[in-house]
Amino acid sequence: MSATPETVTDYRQSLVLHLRLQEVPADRIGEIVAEVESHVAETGEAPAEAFGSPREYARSLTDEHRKPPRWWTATTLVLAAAAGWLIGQGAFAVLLDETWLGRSGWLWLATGVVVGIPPAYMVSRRSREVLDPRTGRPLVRTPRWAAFTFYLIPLAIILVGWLAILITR
Amino acid sequence: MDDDIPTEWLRAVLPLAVLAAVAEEETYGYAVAQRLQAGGLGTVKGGTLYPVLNRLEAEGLLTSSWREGVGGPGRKFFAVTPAGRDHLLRRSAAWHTFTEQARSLLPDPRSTR
Repeated sequence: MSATPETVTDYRQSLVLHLRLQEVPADRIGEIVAEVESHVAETGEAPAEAFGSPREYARSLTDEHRKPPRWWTATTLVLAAAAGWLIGQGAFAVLLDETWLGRSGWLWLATGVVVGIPPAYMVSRRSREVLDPRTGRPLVRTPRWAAFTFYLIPLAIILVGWLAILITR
Repeated sequence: MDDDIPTEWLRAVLPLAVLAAVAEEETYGYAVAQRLQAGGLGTVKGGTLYPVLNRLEAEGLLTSSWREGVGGPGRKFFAVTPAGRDHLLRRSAAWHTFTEQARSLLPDPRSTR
């Protein structure tokens, strides 16, 4: 984003994006954005005039909010992948009424869910909606279909796989 | 103040000056900026001020709360904590010692000698 956002709404959207990229927690993003808007409402300045470009301002706050280390992201990914694999194997075993590695599909399914709890928590924390501390309402609207698609795609993959196996058997 | 204050000087004294302004009375960002300007520190931009306020809050020296503004969208008020008041007293004393020592090292332009 090279152009300096002129309006408060443009500035808000751009600042939220850049703070997200710095992985600042959602509640802090809400505070930071509300501070900017409340301040310029009093001074009459353009946000970029008082706070610099959204990108610069978001970066200047990184000594306050350090990005999580790489191993943290890597651990989240590995756990999520393991959970997905176990749930997939368990679900197929249950749907086809078979065992996997000599154990019941339900056992694998449950193991997958347990393994999936920490990464699910980490992802949900990172993607939590940004609320305006002044009103308690969301600062930026998230489209409803976003969450829907998030769950629909893995479910569709399992169903299609199951149907394919049933048909080819 | 006719000369521009070097940014390094401002950066050094700003946290303490902001803490002092909030310790005087519970107040909000823009009023702190006005207080600093009236005190001779020049225009402190929002992008400089709020990170300082937030750092002081993270260190437990200030607390903050949002209040309904007069016709506006709301203001974030800051209040000093007992730890903040204690910190302000100790660091102010240290600052005065420091500036007096630094002063003795510098030539005095008003000196007639």
